[in-house]
Amino acid sequence: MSRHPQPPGRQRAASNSSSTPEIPVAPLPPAALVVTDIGKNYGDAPAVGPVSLRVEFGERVALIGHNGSGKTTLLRIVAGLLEPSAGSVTIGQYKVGSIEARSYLSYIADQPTFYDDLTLWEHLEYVALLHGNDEWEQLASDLLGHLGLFERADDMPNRFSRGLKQKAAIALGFIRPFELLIVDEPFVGLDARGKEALLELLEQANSEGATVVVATHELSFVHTVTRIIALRDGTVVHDGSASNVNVDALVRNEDPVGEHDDKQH
Amino acid sequence: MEKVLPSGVVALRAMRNTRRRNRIADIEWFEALYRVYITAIAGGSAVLFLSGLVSDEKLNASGYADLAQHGPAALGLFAALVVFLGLRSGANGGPLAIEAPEVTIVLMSPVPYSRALRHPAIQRLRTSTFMGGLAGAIAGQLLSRRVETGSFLTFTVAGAIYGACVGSLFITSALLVHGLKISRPVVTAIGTMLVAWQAWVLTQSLAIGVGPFDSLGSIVLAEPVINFQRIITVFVVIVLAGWGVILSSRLSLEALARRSSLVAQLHFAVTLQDLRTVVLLRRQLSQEHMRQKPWFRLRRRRLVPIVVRRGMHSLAHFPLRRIGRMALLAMSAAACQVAVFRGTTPTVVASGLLLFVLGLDIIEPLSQEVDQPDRTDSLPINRGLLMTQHLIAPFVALIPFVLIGMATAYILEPHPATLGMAALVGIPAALAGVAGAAINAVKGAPDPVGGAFEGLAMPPEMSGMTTMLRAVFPPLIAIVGSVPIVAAKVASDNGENVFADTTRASLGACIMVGFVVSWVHQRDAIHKWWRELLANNKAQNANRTRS
Repeated sequence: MSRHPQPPGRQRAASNSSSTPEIPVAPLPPAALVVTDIGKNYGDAPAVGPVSLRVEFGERVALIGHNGSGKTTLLRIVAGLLEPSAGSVTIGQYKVGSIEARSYLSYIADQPTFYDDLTLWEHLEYVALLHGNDEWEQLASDLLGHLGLFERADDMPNRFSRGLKQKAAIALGFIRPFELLIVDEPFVGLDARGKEALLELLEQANSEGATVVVATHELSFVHTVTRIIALRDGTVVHDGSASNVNVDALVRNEDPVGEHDDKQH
Repeated sequence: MEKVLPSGVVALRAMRNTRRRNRIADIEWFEALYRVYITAIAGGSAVLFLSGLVSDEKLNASGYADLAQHGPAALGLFAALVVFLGLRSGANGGPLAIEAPEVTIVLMSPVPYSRALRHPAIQRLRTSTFMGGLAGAIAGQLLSRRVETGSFLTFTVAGAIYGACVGSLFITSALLVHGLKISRPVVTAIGTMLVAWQAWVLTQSLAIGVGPFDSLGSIVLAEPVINFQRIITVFVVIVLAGWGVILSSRLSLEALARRSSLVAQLHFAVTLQDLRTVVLLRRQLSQEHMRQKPWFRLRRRRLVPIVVRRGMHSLAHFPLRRIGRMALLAMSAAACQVAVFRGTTPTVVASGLLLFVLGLDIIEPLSQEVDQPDRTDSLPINRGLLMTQHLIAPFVALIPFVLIGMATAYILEPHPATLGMAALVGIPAALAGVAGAAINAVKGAPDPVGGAFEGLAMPPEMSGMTTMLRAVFPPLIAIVGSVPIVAAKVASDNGENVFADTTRASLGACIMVGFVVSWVHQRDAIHKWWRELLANNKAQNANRTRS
């Protein structure tokens, strides 16, 4: 998978740590994703917030919560598709929505959309080239083969079934270079083979250094993450390591069995 | 300074070309030519109809002086209203509506927004300018037939320039408001002030140049064709348009994402002539939500049927914006009726259409019921009776809007007889507006006795015409309801008893509304009867063939 050779955030982190030993309170180095006190209201009704998060480079995070807990709203704010009513988001060290942040972040939405007049292959070409990935063809072939879409490369994805559309969206999310991958409910509608392929792609991206944040209830993924963030009614109710909590209880929207309350917000 | 990925911009351009090629390859040329043919016929018919409304009689000297004095301010008022709409569109996230994947793919890629959005902004501007110019040219040539001075060409060109400027200003004002992120209340205040200012100049017959849009309005009547004022006005419009296009890079991604899906559905609904869906999507586009807290609470009374109570509950949650819009529609309809009485007969069509739109808003309880066919069918009540009862609350809710219309008529025509006459023509007109809207809502409901029964009795060649008639019929009912004012005008011109003639016409309109209500009540029974008749005929024919 072709990514940026060195994420700007990590370059900055290295230089900061070496040049500021004398400052008594050193500013935090940039992280892959920093969400500061964001909130989103629809009219008078609060949808999310206030939420603050910091996701470090290379983390693999599962975002969980019941329907309507604010997962999609939070991820859409992080992706720049929604404007927060309050607070700020930085991707790497860049303001969300800036050209650098867009080049840094790959977002796979829960409701994929495609052009009516482009084939899947043309979509892949378009997205890859928009992101400056000129050597895209081999990667595209690999991705389509991996997801079982190779035979459908010349078809219009808008006419695909729900599951195939999801796979096509995943291919588009992975065809471009990225450092932070945000995925919203990617397992919905996927067959067993598709789920397996996606898990492998997420694993591979993470092992190559990308930060991965996935909103999901899929236990097979949640059990593999390094950190779980649980939302309830728009606020973070649990944020911590996946190793010492009852993951199943969290996914079922119950409190993790008692003693491990490492809620940060 | 934004860093530009050269390959990204090149890819954007290349893929737009690919998409254009794919679209051209997908065109069904025969169907495209058929559409051009239909559009040409419809457009030509519309122009001929409009030409028929404008007599060939030349204006006399006083008429021309009146036109020269009030024309620029009146045209300026039209421009102000268009700008007001543009400002509102911008505040609601308009004017651009790009495709959903354009948002998730292009606008989330590292291609600068200025590159990605300039093309759709210019496209939108170009279309609006062209359509405005075309409408202006047609209006200009119609005007040239009535004016002694100036040639056909002069008026056509001047009309085209005025129309193009107004069309361009609609998009430009929306782009500026959206790009500069001006809040909705501020935009509404600015727009209202501009319209009020221009209306004040028109009604007070002030000197040309006092109103903010006078110079734009005077383009049509200015002599000679190429003059300094016209050049300056057009130049200002072009500069503003350029500024709007530059600001397109600052459009909100959230608004673009929201509009992208809604506008696609809106176009689809318009294609299907599905007015209810159009109304619903328009409300979503302008983020018009029902009030959480009702305006009033109903006391529990057993006398009021529950369906009527449900209707009143719905009306109690109407947002202030919708109520304001309905009041404006009532005022405009009343103004049109006054214009009919003063001699501009064609405005009776505008009055009917305005009341039809008001009706579409006020029959919300009925429309909601039609939107939920499964729920309606599960209720232990006859569907026809249910639909008819749903008309009671809207009819009651019409009262304040009729009063607003009467007050408007009295302000425009301050005469002791005006109020009585306004009530006489206003009540049937408003009822007919609701009746037309009710037909539109109910005919959208599924037929419980089995599908499109009309198709069974109709050759395919006729079905297109039937579809058109079904679309035209509801607003036509609303227009017919506004006709009593024409009767009043005719009686007044002929020196006959105005009240007697108007009362007769109003009674006729009320009887028509009664028929509509009966149709709503008996629709299912009529469908059932018709279907059985067709089935019997078919069986008889089959027997005859066998024997």
